[in-house]
Amino acid sequence: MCTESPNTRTDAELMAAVGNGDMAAFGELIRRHQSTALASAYRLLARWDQAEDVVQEAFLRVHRAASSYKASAAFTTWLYRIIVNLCQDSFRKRRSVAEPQDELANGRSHEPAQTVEESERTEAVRQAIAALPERQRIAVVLHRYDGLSHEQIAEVTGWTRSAVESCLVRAYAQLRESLSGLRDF
Amino acid sequence: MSCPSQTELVRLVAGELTGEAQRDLQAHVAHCPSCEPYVRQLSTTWELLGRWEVDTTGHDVADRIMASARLEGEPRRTIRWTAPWRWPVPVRAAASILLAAGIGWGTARMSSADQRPGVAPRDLAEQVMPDLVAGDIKLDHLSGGAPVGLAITFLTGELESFEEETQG
Repeated sequence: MCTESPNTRTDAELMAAVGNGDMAAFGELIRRHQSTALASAYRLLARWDQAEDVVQEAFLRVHRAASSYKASAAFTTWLYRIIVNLCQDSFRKRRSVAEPQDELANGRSHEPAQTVEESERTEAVRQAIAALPERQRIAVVLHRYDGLSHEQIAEVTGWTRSAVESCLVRAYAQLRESLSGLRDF
Repeated sequence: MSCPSQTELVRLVAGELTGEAQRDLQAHVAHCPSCEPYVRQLSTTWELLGRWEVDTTGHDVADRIMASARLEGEPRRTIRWTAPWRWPVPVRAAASILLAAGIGWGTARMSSADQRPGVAPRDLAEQVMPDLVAGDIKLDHLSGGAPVGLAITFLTGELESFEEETQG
């Protein structure tokens, strides 16, 4: 029986423990990855309520599948994959329901304290990202904010590497255009 | 050096290139009238994007997740199918009895359903199902004609032989 405290164990070790019903290990996994997961989901969805729901469901799926989890891929890759899939489900629901585009206003809260200029710049970036087509938005968020390589993005999304690269090139070009009005350009 | 792809320039700006690859590309970009403005603008975009920090304070969902997980119970275990001849003996015995009972019941029903005036059940079977009748003779040989014996043979003896053969 493992006597290590949960926070010294690797993600794979924690997952093995979760598979054996160790709720403390599951809590540690949440503690480690919740913030990153929330930030990614929020950047993709631009809504905190939906981001929270996605992250909750993602971790519940992790819990349900823990007993069959194999550490052939990194835990974070697997978690990102679940989050991206859930976000894509949300995108589809939005399209089918024709949600009003007020989610940008809904998402303006909880930015770190900033000057007015910084706040305007941040808002411009947020809107530029939200305006990207969904695949480009996913690629940019995973690349720029989550630090994933092209190969890792391909693994998370299931796209080919060339599709990822093409998406990123187009996305950064679009963002350059969108943000060209800011003072820095 | 010919101009690199835009993908390579994205990788350069993202800091994904190291060592000689990075140096070579930087050297090219510094003197290329096409690549230099592209990298400069991409770098500015990259830096600007990085200013969007997301504060997740106030969005802690850990308690909700833990509560839901506890309600759902322990993680599901994958049930793997095991061949009958690998089951523990008591399980095989119980399965044999159930199988025999099922076969006996089915046979009894077929016998009563096939009863026609003036036609013996076996004669009728030969007319309708000659192959099965031939098979029936073989099965009788194996089991002594009793459904229980057949079931036990099926789940134990015959397949133990098969297992030995397949395992070399």
